[in-house]
Amino acid sequence: MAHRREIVVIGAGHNGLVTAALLARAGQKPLVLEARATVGGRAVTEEIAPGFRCSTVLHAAGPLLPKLMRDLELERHGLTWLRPDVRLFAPSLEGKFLCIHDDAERTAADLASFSPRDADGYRAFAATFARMGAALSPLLTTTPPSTEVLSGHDLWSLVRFGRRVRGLGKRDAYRLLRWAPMPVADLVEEWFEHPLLRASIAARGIYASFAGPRSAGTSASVLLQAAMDGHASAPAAFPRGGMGALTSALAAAARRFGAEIRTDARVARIEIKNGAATGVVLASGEEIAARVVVSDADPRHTLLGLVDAAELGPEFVAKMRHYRSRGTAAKLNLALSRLPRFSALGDESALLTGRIHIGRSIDDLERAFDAVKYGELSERPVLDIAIPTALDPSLAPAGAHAMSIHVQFVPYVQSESDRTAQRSAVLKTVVHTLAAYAPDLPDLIVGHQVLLPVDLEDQYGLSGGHLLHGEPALDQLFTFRPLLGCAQYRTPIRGLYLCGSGTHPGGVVSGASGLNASREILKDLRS
Amino acid sequence: MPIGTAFHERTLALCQSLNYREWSGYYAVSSYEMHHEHEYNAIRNAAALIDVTPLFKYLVRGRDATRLVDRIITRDMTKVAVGQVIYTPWCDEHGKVLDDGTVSRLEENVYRWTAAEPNLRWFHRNATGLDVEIEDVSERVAALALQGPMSARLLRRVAEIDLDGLKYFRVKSGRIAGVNVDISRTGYTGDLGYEIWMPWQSALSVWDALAAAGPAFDLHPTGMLALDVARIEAGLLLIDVDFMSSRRAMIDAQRYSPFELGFARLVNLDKSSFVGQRALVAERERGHARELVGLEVDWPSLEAVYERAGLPPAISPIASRVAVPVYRGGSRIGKATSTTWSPTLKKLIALALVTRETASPGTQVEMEITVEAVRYQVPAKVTRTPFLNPPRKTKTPPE
Repeated sequence: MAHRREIVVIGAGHNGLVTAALLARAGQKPLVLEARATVGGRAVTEEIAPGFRCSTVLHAAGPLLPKLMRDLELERHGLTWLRPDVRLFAPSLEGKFLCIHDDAERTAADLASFSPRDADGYRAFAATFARMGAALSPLLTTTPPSTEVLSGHDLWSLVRFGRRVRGLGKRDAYRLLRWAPMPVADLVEEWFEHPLLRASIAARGIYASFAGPRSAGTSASVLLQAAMDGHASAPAAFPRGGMGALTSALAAAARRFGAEIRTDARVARIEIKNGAATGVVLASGEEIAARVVVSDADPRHTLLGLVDAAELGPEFVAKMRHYRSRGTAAKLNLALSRLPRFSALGDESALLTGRIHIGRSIDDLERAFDAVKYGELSERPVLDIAIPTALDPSLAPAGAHAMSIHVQFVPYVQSESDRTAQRSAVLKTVVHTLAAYAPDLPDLIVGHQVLLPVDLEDQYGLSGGHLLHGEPALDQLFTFRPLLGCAQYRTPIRGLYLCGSGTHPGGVVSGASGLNASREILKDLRS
Repeated sequence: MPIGTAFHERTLALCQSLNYREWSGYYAVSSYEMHHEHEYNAIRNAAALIDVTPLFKYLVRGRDATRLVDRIITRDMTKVAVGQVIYTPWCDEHGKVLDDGTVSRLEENVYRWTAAEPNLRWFHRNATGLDVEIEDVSERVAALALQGPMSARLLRRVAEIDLDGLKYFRVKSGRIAGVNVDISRTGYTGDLGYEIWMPWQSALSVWDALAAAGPAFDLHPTGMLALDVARIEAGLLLIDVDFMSSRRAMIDAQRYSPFELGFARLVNLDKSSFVGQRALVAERERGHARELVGLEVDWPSLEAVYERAGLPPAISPIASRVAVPVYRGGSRIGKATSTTWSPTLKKLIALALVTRETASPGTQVEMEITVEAVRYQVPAKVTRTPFLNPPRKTKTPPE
């Protein structure tokens, strides 16, 4: 064995880096092994066309836990956030638009022109989700309880959480229980009347999921989003320099605390002896012994790809094979010669600094999902767009812009001919869809990059091309993420841990999975 | 309704007793004659032809075939040469025996695997991540066991194969009546014997060739009753009689570890990981609680029991598959699962599962015998198995 390490972290995605940084901060000397040439995983800034840089995969944070900003001193390592007031801009085909701002009052005031009833409704909605988010937020940094042995600590966390829920009052507590398993379409229809507002809020419930707004349990994702920062809509939390700037800062912090990070170091398998991890073997054949192996790779890749199935036993392997991680979202990144002109806005561009939502109604969203159920590309896909250059011109040549488009739904295809056909279909369909809102867009495109689910799998190591490391469905969340009995960041293999988005709370870029994993690993190292 | 095997046309014509049973969905002859005595004697003194087609048979092939087999069985497949056959149990994740059978390494990456029960799903479930093809060939491959001291001589007459070079638990390809067959020196009788594996559709030609040459060697078609006596003498276990697959067990007492079944030498805990390994490592450290042993019943005491009832001793010539309690010093210490009169040894013998403390050879125990519906405890002695192990079983070249 060439190296001997106490801790090896597989994958330098944001959670892998958070775990490594926190372990290093606690005095460990972890070695992070990244398969790609750059750190970052799904949070990277890469060139999409000469001179155009863009957050190629995920384009905003969830947001990042404030605690990580503080504890890892990320500001010191060059991380600054661009937080426009507008979270979401949603144009309509009729040349109107609505906006969701950080400030609920401002949002309500804007909505009044659409629907006075929805304006009032939004005030109550925002206040309710702020309360619920506050009650739920401690869960993000809580290790889900084990179903096998409920430890004193588990019990205490549950009691504390129970108290918080009771603190919500009977009405909100009942709502919480009722909403979590509900289709998000029904939730928004209870609150709002305007189709575009309904669709804008509901879109979060199906983000990167194999689900339509009428699928059960899609409200849970909206509640989880609210737990992040008290809003039902995702924030427009952009690092200056793109998402890669976030992970660069995390890497710098990890290194400063004593972690070592190696890129171009693909782990081919995890070595196991007598049921315990003993190290990793790289694709190059290099062997690195370690007492603790932490994987930021998704659970499917970690447990089915890197571990010999005999180590886990057929029962566990069968469960893992049933873990759902079929990617249905693609990325289209455009290089634009200038900012597109949205008909709804005219020459106004300040509202393009947040996320842009395209998807007119619940029916539109559901129809988009219908297609992928049968292996087809949506005719009118749901889009979540960011134009990072609107606030950060350094990412593109002067006057030019990069546009990052999250496209739903795109089925997973594998064959070379299907890929080629699908790439051009995605480009054509998305541009056509967008042109209805910004007619000059097709003429502004000077470069583009399409990342199909299969590309996300091949290039970024996401099993099935799933952007969230696995479906954020009720049966794959919290104590069930990734599997019941395996949700404490530990695996059936002693010394092998999971720290990626396939663990609770997973999903968007918050760093919570990495934070929780590092806490559990340190707990084991100290006992 | 059971169906006939590839040999049904022949076996039906020969089965005077019409005494059949069901074996894995097939008709299996219990005894061809009204009494199985001649058939038993064929196994021990001449040659016996037994239709063992109902065994489940799988063909495993592909780059990772060895890894798949090795993941499942308790023995180390990497140490098995091409042309070698092994008998092995395999376990569930709790280290409890699921099934047992033989694995023949036909080529570097081709294995034929026999099992008592269906295993296709289990094999597939363990194939995750492996480049391997698993095929259930149960209905494509017919099998005959040719057993007994004359079996080699008979086979020499009909088979084109280098029989002298075929060692115990080895397999070779050859031809019988123009049919390509595999012949392994294996069996379920503890005697000199062979098993012949052939394509289903050509099975009758092989049978006919053996039958035609048979009379000179006193070949008898032989059924399950004779085989049952022979296998107990040989100390060979039968699933659902001496143990149960953990797949169907309802309670812990019905789940058996390989250590308990006397398979310790068939468990390699140091090989690369396999299903049940962790549980078996723990069990080895902890020690197993029960152990499978042989029992020899004390005949004078048995006679005395019958005498008390005013009867001469009358032991059924058919092996008993009814489990009876075994005691020591008045406490129950286990159960005898298979009991038979051994015509060769002239002893009443049994396979029994007893506590580990009472498992050493020579230990005196008492076994329950019922005479005229009255229960008695008859002294018996713990012995090693096999009860019968003739040197001809393994002698190479065979006689």
